[in-house]
Amino acid sequence: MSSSEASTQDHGVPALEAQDSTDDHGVPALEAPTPEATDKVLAAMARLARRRRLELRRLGRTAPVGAEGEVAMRVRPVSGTSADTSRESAKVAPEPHEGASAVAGWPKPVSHGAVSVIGRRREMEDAVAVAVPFLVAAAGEEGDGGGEKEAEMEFFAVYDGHGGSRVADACRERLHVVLAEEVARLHLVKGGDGARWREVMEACFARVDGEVAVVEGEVNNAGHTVGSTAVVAVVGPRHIVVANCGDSRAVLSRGGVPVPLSSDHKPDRPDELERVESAGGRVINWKGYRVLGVLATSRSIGDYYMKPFISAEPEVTVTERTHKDEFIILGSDGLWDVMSNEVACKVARNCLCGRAASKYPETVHGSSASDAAAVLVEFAMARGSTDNISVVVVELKRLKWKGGRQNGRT
Amino acid sequence: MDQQGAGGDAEVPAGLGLTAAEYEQLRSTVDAHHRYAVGEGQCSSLLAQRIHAPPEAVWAVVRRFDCPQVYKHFIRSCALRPDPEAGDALCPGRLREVSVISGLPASTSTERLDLLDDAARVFGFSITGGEHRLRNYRSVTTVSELADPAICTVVLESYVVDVPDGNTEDDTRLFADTVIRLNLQKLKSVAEANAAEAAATTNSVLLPRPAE
Repeated sequence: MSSSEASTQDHGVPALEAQDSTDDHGVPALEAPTPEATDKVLAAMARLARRRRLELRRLGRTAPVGAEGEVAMRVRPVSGTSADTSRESAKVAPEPHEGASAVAGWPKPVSHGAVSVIGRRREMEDAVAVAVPFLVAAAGEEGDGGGEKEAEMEFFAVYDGHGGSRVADACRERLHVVLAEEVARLHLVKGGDGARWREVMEACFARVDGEVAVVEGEVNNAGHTVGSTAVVAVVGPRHIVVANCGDSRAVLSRGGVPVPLSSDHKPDRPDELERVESAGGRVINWKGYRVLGVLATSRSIGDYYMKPFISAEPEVTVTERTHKDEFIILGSDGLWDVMSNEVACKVARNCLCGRAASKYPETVHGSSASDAAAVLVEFAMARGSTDNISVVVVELKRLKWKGGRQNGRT
Repeated sequence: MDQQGAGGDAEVPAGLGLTAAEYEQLRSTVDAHHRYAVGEGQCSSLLAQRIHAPPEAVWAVVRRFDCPQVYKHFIRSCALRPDPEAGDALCPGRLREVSVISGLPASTSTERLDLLDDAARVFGFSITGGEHRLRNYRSVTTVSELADPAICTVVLESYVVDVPDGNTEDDTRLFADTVIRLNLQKLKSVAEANAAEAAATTNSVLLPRPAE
C-alpha cells in the first residue's frame, strides 16, 4: 500500500465530455466521445506504453516490441470460483423482454476481469477475490412474497495489504465466505435495504478482523503490524452493494459518467480525523497525513496495534442499477494514486467498446473485461505508479463503438 | 528533555509512568545516560517500560544490535554490514542496514552501534542514513533492576533528534514515541515469555522424577 502523494489530476490526458442520448425504444444509446479527443487519450497511452518499454529496458527487463502485454510481471493468483473468464466474455447479456414475468431486474454482469501485479515494489501484498456466483437462492423460496424469485449475486474484491501480505491473503480466502454466512444468517438473499446490507457488511468485516487478530502459533504479537484495505462489491440483479474499509476504491461508469461507490478513508478526511481524535489518537503530516504519524489509511482490517484509532468498520453504499450502468472498476491505490476516476473510466470504456484494440492492436489485445483490467494496470505503470496494482473490472452491459470498423474484437 | 533542580528532588517526568520511589532509584542512570544537549530545532524524549523478568534476560535481547527484529516492530530485515577487522563482534562503530515493512513513512535505515556496555547494561545507537525523516537521531537504552517497592526490571529508552521542516516538536515526539513505545511493549512480551520458558525448563529439570 503506497503512501504516495502523487496527484490524481488529469494532466496529460484531455478531459472528455460525457454524452448520452436515448433512442426511440427508451434504451439509452451512448454516443462515443469525440473521435479526435479519444484519439488523444489512446495516443497518449501508446506513447506511455512505449516509454514504459524503454524504462523496462533500462531496468534490465527487455520486452520484445509487440509483446508488451506478455511481459512477465509477478502476478498474484486471483482466487475465484468462476468459469473461464474468456468464455464468459463471449456471452451477450440478454435484453430484458417487454412484458417479461417472474424474473425482474437487469441482466447479470456480462463479464469480469481481474489483474493484480507487484508493480515497482519489492513485495506483493495486494490480493483480489472473485466469487461468481456468490450466492444463489433456491427458486420459489418463500413463494411470491415480494422480491425476486431468484437472487443471483456476484462478489468482487480488492485487498491492499501493508506490513506484510498475511491479512490481505486472509481476506482473499475468508471475506466472501464469511459474508455468505452473514447474508444467510440475516436472510438477505431476497435483497435487503441499505440498513440491512450495512448491518451484514459490518458483521462480516468485524468477524474477519477478529479472525486475523488471532494468529495460531504466533510468538510475541509479531503480526500485529500487518493490515489490509478491503473494497468489496456485491452485484445483484437490482443493486450494487459496496463496502469499503481503507483507501482502495470502487467506481461505477454510468452513461459515461464516473459515479464513486466508495470514499477513501484517509486520516485527514474531516470525519475520519474527528473519529481518530475522539478515540484519543492524533493525525500528523509525516510523509502524508498519518495516524500517529505511522499509518496512511484511517481504516483497515488487522493492524491490531493501532486500535482503537484504526477502525475495521466499512462504509457501505447500496446503489440501484439502471440501464445506463456500464461497468464497475475496483482498484487499489496503486491505480488511483496515478489516475482519476474520469481517466480510468475513459480508458476502460475505450477498451470495452473495442476501440482501443482496433486502433492499437499491438498494445490492446481484446475488448473483454480482462483486457480492460490489464490495460488499466499497464496505464497505471506507465503513469509512474510505485505500488502493487490491483484492478477488477465488472462489465455490466455490452458497450459498442459506434465509429469505424469492429476490428480487433476478441 | 532537560531536568533542572540540581541537587533538589526533581519530580518524575510527566508521562513516564514511574512512581517517585522508582524514579529515585533510577536517577543516577538517567543523569549518566539519558541527558542530552538539545539544540535549536531538536527535541528529546524519555520512555520507560517495566518488565517482570530478570534484568540479564532483558539485556540479552536489548544488546542484539545484529538482530533488532526480535523485539522491534516494523523491521522487514536487518543485515550487519561486514567488518573484516571486527568479524562477528558487536562493538562501537558497527553498522546495520535495516529494511522497514511497507505502509510506513520510511523504507530503510542505516544505524551505527555507539555504545555496548555489558557491565552497566547500556546500549546506544544512532541513525546515520537511510530513507526516513529522522535526522541526527541518537538513542540510548538502559536496563536497570529496581528493588523498592518490589523487584522488577525497568528499561529506559531516550533519544534526541532533529525536528523536520514543516513539523513541530510535538509531531516529532509523537511519531518517535509511538514507535519506541510499541517496541518496548514487544520487548516486555518477548523477555517475559523467554523468562517464563526458562523457568519452566528449570522446574522440569529440578522436579524429582517419580519413583519407578
